[in-house]
Amino acid sequence: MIFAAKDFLNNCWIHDLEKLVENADLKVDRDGLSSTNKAFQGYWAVAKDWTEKSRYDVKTESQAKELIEAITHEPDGVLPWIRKHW
Amino acid sequence: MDTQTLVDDKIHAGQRFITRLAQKKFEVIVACWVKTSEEDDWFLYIASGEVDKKGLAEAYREAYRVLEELDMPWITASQLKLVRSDDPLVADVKETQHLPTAAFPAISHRPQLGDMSTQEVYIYPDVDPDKVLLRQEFSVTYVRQENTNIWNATTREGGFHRGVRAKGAVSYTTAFYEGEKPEDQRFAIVSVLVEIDPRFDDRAFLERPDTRRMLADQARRMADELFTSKYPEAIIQRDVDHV
Repeated sequence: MIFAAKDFLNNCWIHDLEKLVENADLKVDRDGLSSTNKAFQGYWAVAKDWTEKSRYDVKTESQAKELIEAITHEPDGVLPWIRKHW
Repeated sequence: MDTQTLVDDKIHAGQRFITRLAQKKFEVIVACWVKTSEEDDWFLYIASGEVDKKGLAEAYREAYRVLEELDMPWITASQLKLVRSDDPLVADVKETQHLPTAAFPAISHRPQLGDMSTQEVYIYPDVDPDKVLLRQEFSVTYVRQENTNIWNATTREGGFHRGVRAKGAVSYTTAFYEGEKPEDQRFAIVSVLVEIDPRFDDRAFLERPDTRRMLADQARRMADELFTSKYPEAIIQRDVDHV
C-alpha cells in the first residue's frame, strides 16, 4: 500500500496536464465540461500545449496573452475549473 | 492491438480529418503525425493560418467541431496539436513534401522536426481543397423491349474520381440509324457521378454492401430522371444490376 502510494506520488510529479487530469480522477468531469462548454474546450486545448520545454521558447506578446487568458478566464478558464476541485 | 495497426488507422483517420478541415475552408498548411521522444506518443500536428487569424483557442474550437462531426476514435482531442503558420516544423515538413522521391504519407525517422525531438514522423501531402472532392461513377444502360415502351435498365458501378466538380447525370449517349426517329431508338446509356459526402469519404465505409447499394440507388434515380425527360412515357424495369 505504501509502495502504491509512492508510485502514485511519482506519477503526479510531472507536467503532463493530460496525465495529471487522469491521476486526479478528473478526466470524466473535464471531458463532460468540454463537450458542453466550448469556451472551456478551447481554453483547455491551449493550456494542454504548454510543456516544461515550451516555457523556454520565445513567444510573442499575443501568444503569451492567449495562454494567460486560457488559464485565468472567468468563468471558462482552466484554473477556475481546477479550483472547483480543490 | 499492435502498434502498426494503430498507426495505420491513425494515418487513415488523420487523412479524413484534414480532408474534412480543408473542405470546411479551415486552412491546413501542413499536417503530420509525430511520435515525440519525450512523450513516446503520437500527436497530430496541423499548422494552420486559422491559428494566426483567430487565435489558438478559437482555431481549436473549430477543429474540434469537425473532429466531433467525424466521430473517429483514432484521434483524441488531446492528440491534436494546432500550431501557427510560422511554426518551425512547417519548413521541415515542406522540405520533405517537396523531395522528388517523396511518397505519401512520407515516413521519416528524423530525430528533429522544428523544435521537437522526434522518433518517427508521418507527413501528409499538400491538401488542395479542390482535389478532395470525391465522386463515384455509375452507368445505367436502357434497352427497349421490342417495339414497346418498356425499357430494361442495368446499373454498373464505375470507379472513384477525386477532384471532379461535376456531379449528377453528366452524359446521355444513344445510337440510331440514319432516318430513325427518337421513338425508334432502342438503346441509351446515362453516366452519373454520385457525390460522396465528405463525412463518408472512407474506404472501409464505401466498400460496405449497404453503402454500395445506397450509392447505386442514388445513381439510378438521377439516371432515370434524365432518361424520362427524353422518354416521359417510358416504363423502366430493372435488370440484375452489376453492383
